[in-house]
Amino acid sequence: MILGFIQFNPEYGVWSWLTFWIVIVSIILTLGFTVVVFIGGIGDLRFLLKAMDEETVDESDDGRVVTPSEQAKPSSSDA
Amino acid sequence: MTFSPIDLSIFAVGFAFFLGWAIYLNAKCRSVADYLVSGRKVRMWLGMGAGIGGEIGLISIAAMCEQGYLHGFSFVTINILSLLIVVPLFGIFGFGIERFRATRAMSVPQYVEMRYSRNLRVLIGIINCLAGVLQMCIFPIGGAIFVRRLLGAPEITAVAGMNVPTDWILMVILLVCPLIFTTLGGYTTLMVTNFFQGMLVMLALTWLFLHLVCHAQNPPSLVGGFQTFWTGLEDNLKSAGVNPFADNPDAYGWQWFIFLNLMTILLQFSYGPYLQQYAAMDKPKTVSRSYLLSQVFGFGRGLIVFGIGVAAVAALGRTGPPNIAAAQWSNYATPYYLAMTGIPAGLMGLLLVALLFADVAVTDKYILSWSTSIVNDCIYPFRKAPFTPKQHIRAVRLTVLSLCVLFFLFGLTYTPGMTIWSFMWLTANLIGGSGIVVLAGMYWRGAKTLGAYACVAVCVVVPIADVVTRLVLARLPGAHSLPWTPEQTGLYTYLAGAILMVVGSLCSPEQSRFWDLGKTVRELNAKSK
Repeated sequence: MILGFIQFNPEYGVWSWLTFWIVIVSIILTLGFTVVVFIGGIGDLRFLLKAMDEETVDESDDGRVVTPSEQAKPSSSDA
Repeated sequence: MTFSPIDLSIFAVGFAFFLGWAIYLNAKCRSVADYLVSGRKVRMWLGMGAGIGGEIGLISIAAMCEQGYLHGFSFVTINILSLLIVVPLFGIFGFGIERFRATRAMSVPQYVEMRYSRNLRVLIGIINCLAGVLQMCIFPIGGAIFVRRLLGAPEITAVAGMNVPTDWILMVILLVCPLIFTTLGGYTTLMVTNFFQGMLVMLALTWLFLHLVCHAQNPPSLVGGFQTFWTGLEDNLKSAGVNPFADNPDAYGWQWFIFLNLMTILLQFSYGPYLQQYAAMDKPKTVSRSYLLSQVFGFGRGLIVFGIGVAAVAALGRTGPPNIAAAQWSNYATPYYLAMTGIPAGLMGLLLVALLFADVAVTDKYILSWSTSIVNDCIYPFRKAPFTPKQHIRAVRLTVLSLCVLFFLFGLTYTPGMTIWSFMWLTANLIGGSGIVVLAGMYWRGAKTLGAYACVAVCVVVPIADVVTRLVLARLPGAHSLPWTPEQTGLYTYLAGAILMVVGSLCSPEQSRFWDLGKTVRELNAKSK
């Protein structure tokens, strides 16, 4: 069976030609999307670099979970 | 081995470009949050581009080529059906992933401590770290094997008068580079370099795929090449090459499909590298939008890589050379075919930069995630005094270094005995139980610590028992095996874990620490408009 420019084995019915065209169309769409992501990503990169310079640093934001009783204790920090 | 001056120049320029960015970003990193989650300032397009880069690692490329070689494009149907499930779930409704971002937790165990208890955090942290580290052990050696075959390099190389296996030298390169880049700027460096690497790998792999298709026939031709390529797929893999549910022993099958989707869903709430990426995004809506677009348009990305493996089976057939064991041949077939076909000058240099930084991208992402988890969840809870920010970052870096040494030692003794995907899914199975715990914690007020312990225990013990049993049976005389597949073990383990989560929680008198994350998600999304 010939569909488009490719000859498919009729033994595999719709699976073969459908899979082929899904692959081709998906690849084309992905390549177009990659270009869009690249352009958008450059803008976001500029934002990230600016934000890293301008945002204030919160030193308590380090992955700990501090309970209210721990918060009330005086802290001892390593030198 | 063909490696021209043009290829060397491209490789050098590419390496310098990425190194330059890493050094620059290192200078800008000012806090633990900058180092571990990019200060939560990553917007959608950058996040998506970094996601593309972070998902196409060297080991992923090797694994997908192997799958393309073994099963053709039958994964297309499976992927489409999976998209119909996960895209609405995560990409539109942001199920679970938006709520996780709203917790401001940097890791799964941190959330577990917030919601359940510190002891459960430590247990889940240890289990997830062990499973994640075990999974990563295959990354450098799997990548080294692929690259050596691709280059057509000899098995042994003389270095300073000693004969050293070439795979070991490549492993050192594939470990030192991520080490450099992780040290320089942590997650911020990772996001930016992954972004550029994602673009580069798309370019290199697309060019390679088209090159292989055109040269599938002589003289080279795109249309004629596609015909030869597709006919070769049909002739060598039969129905299993296009139909995943065909009545064919080489087909994936329905159980594999169900297990894959359940695993995919649960790993969104338990797999450290995924969650750290979500934690780095600027708001919850960015997480779901990023997921949606990544899944829909990332589908084609994977097909390009599968296509390279399909080109190998179309040209070589299913049977390997007599000097390579059958169990190992599927690992080697694609790079062997690429070396045999020949890659033009220019493309080879681009491909090597792309593959090296594909390895850096994924190894960086995963090693940083697991190192963060080891420090935060396995070391930090036992300290009397908190880390200073400098100590915290230094501890993560030392852990990264230690893991690299461990992966190298593993690679010295590794021999492929199963497909790369089988190894990775098997180790990820151990982490799925914490996905059930996290999901229940975020959506069900009644989820309690006792139920969580029971769920995690069964999701660790049963898969390990299954693996050990299979290994013991394989060594006994005669053809012994369990009457069910590893996918069935995974499926029913998750079912049992979920039931135990519910039953254990209902039996527990503990006061629930539930808080309404749905409200937090709405507030955060509204605030950022």
